[in-house]
Amino acid sequence: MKKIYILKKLKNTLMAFLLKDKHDGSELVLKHNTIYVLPSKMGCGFLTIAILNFILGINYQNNLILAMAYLMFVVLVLAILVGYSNMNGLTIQFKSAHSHYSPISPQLDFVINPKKDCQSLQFIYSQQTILTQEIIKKRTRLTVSLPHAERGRYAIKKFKILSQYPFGLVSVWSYMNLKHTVFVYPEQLPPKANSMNAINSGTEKGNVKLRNGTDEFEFLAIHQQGMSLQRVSWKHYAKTQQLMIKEFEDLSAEQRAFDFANLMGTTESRLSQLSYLVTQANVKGQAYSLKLDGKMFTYNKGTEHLTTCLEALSCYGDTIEDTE
Amino acid sequence: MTQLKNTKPINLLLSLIYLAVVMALATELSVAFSVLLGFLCVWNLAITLTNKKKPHTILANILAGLCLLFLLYDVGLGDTVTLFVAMLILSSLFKLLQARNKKHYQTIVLLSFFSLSTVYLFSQSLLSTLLVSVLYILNFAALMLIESTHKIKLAVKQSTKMLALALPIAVFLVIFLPKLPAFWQLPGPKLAKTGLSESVNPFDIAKLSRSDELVFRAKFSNTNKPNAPYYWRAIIHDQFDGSTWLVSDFSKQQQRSQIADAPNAPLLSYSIIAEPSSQPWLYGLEQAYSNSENIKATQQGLLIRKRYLNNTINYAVTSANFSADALNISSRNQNLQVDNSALNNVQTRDLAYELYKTTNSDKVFFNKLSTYFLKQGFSYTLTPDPMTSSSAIDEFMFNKKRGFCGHYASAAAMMFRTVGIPARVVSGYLGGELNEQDNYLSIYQYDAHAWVEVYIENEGWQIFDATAVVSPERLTGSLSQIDSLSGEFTNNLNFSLLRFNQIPGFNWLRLNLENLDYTWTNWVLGFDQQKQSSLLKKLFGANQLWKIALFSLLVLISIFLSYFIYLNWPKNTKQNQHVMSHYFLEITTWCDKHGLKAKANITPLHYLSLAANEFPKKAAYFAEFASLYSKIRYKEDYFTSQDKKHGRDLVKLIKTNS
Repeated sequence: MKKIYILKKLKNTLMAFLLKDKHDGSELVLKHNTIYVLPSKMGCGFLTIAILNFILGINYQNNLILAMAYLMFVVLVLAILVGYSNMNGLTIQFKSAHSHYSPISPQLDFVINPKKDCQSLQFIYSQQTILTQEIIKKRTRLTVSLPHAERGRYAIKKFKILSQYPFGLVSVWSYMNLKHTVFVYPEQLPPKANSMNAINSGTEKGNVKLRNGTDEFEFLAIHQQGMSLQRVSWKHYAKTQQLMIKEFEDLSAEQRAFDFANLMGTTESRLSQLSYLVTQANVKGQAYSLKLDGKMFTYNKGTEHLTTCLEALSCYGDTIEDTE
Repeated sequence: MTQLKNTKPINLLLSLIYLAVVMALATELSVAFSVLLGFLCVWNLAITLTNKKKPHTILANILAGLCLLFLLYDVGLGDTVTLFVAMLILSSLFKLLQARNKKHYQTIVLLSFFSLSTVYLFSQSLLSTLLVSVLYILNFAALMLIESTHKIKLAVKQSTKMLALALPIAVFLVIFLPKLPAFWQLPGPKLAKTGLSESVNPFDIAKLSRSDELVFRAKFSNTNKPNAPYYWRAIIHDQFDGSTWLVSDFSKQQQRSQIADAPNAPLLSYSIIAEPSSQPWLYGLEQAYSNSENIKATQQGLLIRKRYLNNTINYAVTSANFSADALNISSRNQNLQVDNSALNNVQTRDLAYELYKTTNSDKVFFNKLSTYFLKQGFSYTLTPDPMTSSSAIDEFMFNKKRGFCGHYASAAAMMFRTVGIPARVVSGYLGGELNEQDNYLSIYQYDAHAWVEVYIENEGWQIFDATAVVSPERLTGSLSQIDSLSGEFTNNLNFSLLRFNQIPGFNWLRLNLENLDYTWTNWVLGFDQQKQSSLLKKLFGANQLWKIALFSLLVLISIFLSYFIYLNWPKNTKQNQHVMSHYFLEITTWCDKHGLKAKANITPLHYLSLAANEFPKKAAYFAEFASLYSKIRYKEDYFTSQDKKHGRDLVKLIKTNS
């Protein structure tokens, strides 16, 4: 185990030394010092067959077989030239990263700008092909999904951008090293019934003054299917034949406090419930606080607050972040 | 494993490639096995075309095992090369029947690069070269289809382009890269070819089936051309068992060990390009000798291949007259041996004794026998009656009196031996078709002949050919040119252009194809180490190895470099412009000329509506063009050739109809 670890480390150091920092940053132009070309596995097989043909041609003193062997060598060289030219001049820009709730993978947006037509472009991420684009003729926006579906925080690893055009005999590739982090938020699960009590009780404990405005409703909203009939403004209905709902100040802008410790279930299930609650609260425009073991996020509203909370939920339980 | 989207065209291409390979190799494999392979190709083709599922792995594996057993039974272990090729094709086909993912298809395409080369082991004619070249293009197209989802047509077009560029470079390499000697001896494939046989027994043959297959070509220098007839010697049969003439163990022993020295007084020299053959025997006139490294020259003046029966072989020969030296005892005895049974062919023996009794001289007997064949009403035929009795020679000499060369040679040789004159049957070829343009003789399988060589004291071996006495036309030119036999001759041939010999156009075509084939064989197949070094010497002078190396390297580098520059050359922007924009530009220039003043930065549609107002007569055309333009350029509809034509017509209408 240790040996493998050392080898891996050695490989990483070597790669870092060879690649220097040419591939860092959010924009990459493929040119002579950022394109790498080697025969692919298929290309090695092709070369073997060419050598076999050569031996056959020599031993049987057969000019035609010999010509076929040379033809294969020449095609291999031409494939290298064509493959290199296919990728040469391509500009790849990283635009933005989008985190999603599990099980949806985080997505990255790229803009590809080819100098000429670029064929069979593949995005490879931790040895998985995550995107194959048949042909790129003009400035194109590409979205790739990273192969992460589990809750967590992920530092984006090195991307490999590869093309084996035209015959699959040579691999022409480059790397893109994004210093970015993406999150997979916990899956949203509605809390269990008895958990709700805990939350509600938590609301009272939260030292928040509730405005007692049961009669002083703030505004009327159109009744929608599934809403309780208790809050229908019948007076309004009598006048206009329209079902309206009395929206009370305390219901629409209730302040809520969510605490990991007050929920039921396993760690993952609790995180999922919190993910649901936080998101719902944000949708309803409620201010909320979140207490996660030692961490405390005080009452706030807005997308930024939501993102902070969700990210905190995603990293829950992480020890030291690995920044590979 | 990566699944492929376009397996259909890949399967289609690969099935067709293997079908063609099987057809090209069909003559070398047994009928049953060829049919089996063909069936596998068609099966895969049918599965592909009808979008059915591939057979289950277990079923396919069981079938593959059965086919392998059948192959081993059918071909046997003796012919290793054919067995290997058959196994290669069989396994590729079964792999194709089971192929599901990208890796499988890649393996099959790689294997077929090797399978295609093996076709050349059996046939190197111009026709098979063309076939294999086309299959190479298709195979590269299949490789391309694995990597991208192109249409077949586009893939074939691109791979043709690629190979059109690569082929001249490969040919350049063949010409200029030094040729290496063979690393090790490989077994040659056993060719399914007709040809001479080591045993001659003409009497049970009812119909001499003849083929128009080329055997060899002989090229004389212009100044030193011998006169016809040309007796091309190949095999000496010196053992007679009463009905069949064989190669004696004595001769075989000699041929194995002894190799003759160069003759002292060579009469003529010429070169021969021999086609692949299933026998080691080569061809030469009289006492032939060659110092080519792949050839053994025997004491009896025969030439034998050392190896590589499957190859076309090109060798220089010098021929001399037979020496008049006395025969040694063992040779003499071998050439006098007659079968022991005194009961067979008694009549013929008595005839021989009678003819000899009156003369008592070998030379006179030689002439008398000639006259006998001439006078006694013998005739030449390719369709003799079979003679199966134990005294077949008697039956031929006294009853039937019709036969081909084998009958006459067999009878005459026995008669010579009976009276104590050493004689042997020689088989080979007689004559040949002269190509006047390039001054070479083509000798075909139907020129096969058998005659007798008789040893006359103090004169050496002499040719005695009773056939020549009976049918003198046979001596000059080729069998194909004898008018009296043409009907009988062409009936005995398989289907070929020769059947249409009498029609001038066809004969012209045949001779020209023949010429092309000669050039092909001589310059492409026969381009060996010797020819290469003489060509390079001509181009660069002697011992200029570094010059050759530098030249080759520079040429290669400059080709690859210029191709690379071409690939990376910035594309002309005009080419990228859409045809519709181009049309629009034409319209604006026309409008400008006719006085339409518009602001520079308005949209094309706005411009067109302005133009419609300006030229009310053509408003309809402008409107139509505007709708076409917005459909193609803004809604990004598919641009069909019909749209293109429509646009062009509208531009024309706008411009001309003033």
